[in-house]
Amino acid sequence: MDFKSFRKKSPWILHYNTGSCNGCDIEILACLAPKYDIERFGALNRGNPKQSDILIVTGPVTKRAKERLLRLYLEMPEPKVVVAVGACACSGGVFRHMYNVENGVDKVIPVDVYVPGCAARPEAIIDGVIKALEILEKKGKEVELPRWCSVEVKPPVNRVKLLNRCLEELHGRRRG
Amino acid sequence: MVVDEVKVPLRDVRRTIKEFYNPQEWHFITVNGVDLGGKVELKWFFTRYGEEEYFKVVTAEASYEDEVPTITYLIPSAWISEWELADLFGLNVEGAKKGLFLDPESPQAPLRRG
Amino acid sequence: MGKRITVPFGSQHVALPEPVRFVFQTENEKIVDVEVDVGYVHRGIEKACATKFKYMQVGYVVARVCGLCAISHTLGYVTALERLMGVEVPKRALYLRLLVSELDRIHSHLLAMGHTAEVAGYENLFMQTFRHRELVMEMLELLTGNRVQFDFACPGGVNRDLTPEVEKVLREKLKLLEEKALWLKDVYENDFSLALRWKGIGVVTEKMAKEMNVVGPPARAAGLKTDARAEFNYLPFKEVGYKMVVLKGGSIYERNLLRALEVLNSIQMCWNVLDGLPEGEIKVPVKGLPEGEMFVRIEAPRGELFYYIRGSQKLVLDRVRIRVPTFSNIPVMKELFVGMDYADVPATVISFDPCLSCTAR
Ligand code: SF4
Repeated sequence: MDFKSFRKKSPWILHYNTGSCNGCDIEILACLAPKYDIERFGALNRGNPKQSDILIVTGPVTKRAKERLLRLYLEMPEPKVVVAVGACACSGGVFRHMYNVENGVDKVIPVDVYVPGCAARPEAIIDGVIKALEILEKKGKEVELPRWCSVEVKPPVNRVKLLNRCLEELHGRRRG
Repeated sequence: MVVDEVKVPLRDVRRTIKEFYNPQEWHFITVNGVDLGGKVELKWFFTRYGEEEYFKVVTAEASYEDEVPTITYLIPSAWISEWELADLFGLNVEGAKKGLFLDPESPQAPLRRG
Repeated sequence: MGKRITVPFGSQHVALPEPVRFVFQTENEKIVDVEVDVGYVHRGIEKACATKFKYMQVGYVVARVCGLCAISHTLGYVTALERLMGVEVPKRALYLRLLVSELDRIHSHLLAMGHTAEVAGYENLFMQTFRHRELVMEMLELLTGNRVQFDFACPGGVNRDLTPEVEKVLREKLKLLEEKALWLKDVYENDFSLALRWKGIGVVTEKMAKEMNVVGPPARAAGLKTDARAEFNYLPFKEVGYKMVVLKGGSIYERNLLRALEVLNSIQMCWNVLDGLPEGEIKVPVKGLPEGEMFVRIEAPRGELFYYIRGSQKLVLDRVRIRVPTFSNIPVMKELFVGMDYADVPATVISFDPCLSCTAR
């Protein structure tokens, strides 16, 4: 059976805060609330990575949140899209080059949609999610890995092993 | 604004605070450090409930190697400020664990100058 | 006695809007030990304020410490700077700052109340609360030009004036908001199932509040009279009818009721500001270089916010220290959890309204 068209109708959202100021987070909450109501598009905010299709990330990715972010990303099943919400998730924003941040989500995981603004407006976030849905429809089942990651994947994929190898490489880079 | 500031040597800090501190009356705000190059100036801030614009400040200086006395015996909630101090200034605070904020890969003692 | 089981809570969790991590050791349903990790969002703002940014810019940087109480952080910083440099801020600017800071408090309180309701399983009330919160967001947008992160206050005054057209709309919305807030207070006070769920859970006693230096709504809900609005004279709160709300009890129920009552008081203050807004300038230029040290206490929506700044005749300050309310509420939370049922944990955490991006900076 072809699940593609169904997937677009009920995307589940996973939201992770990697060091944002909460400004963008409350705007995402406002999206879920009655006035903007992202549920119109079937989107629900669920805190479970294994059931989610869209990962919304806010914040410039602090050193400690980096590993968690990678974990969440790799735990999500394919196809998946990543939306970076807010100026600081796109490039680091005001926090760029502070000593404990990574300057943006795309330094750690691949990003599909960038939503700028400080704070990003709810309209913009909804627009970003809709754009992400279009991308989601086109994506297949192949595993996408971060740019810095040199781990090779051959189907069938063992997710636990993949996760461990990626984390190892992350830690190796940290030491090296 | 009334500021009542006392300057004491580092080892007398705990005694000074013990003399006046009483949880019914005093509110402990925080302990703050300022790097002076080679040493850190520490300030313990207190205020009194119900009084307007009043601060009591206990000041001491510590070199990077000194052991800073903890006041968690008197004020149990002070641990978090002390741990922060130990983390961000790299000071040796009695009973404090490192790693409240910083990760092994972030720069150590970032708030030191130079 | 059962076996000890370790239950991690966070950093990413359904009930948590914020990345904080608690690790509970439980014995059957009871918690016997807890560890807390608050460092997930440490970015290093204090360092950047003292190296990268000039003193006129720092106000906008510290606003990004926290998006929920953006105006409080800016206010804390600019008040400290103005006092240090001896700047006389025009009356009108002070009143406008007060207006925005109270609106900000309303939206933050409503958010906290809504969240607690959601965690109690009351999704409908969460949605209702958020719906009415949008009114405040619209008002803030009209007044300042942005929904969150409005950068309204600046050293020497405010960045935008209140025009008569905006004032007219504000009055209409404020009227509507007052109705809704009264209704919400009624629900949070009298709803049977909410009271059953919340009364007597997560109790902070007055003695505990004093010993652990609790600040903000949790302290006032426990009967401790502490509010930086009354204890520190940074804005003309007394002139616009500020009343301190203090409740007895200190459980989740009182914390939420207190928030609802404070929202009503804040709305009253907003009316008074709109009625008695003085004419005049909104901004004076700030010249010179800061020298010396200054510290201020501000009442942010979550409690007392403490700022320490120090300059030495340079464009860049020597030290900016931010002590945020959640930072001083973490110890009491940790204390509270020991001996509590695991099922009550999410509601208790949220009822403290923790703001981790403030805590870690
Ligand atoms: S983009 Fe701005 S509002 Fe959004 S999280 Fe970053 S600093 Fe906060």
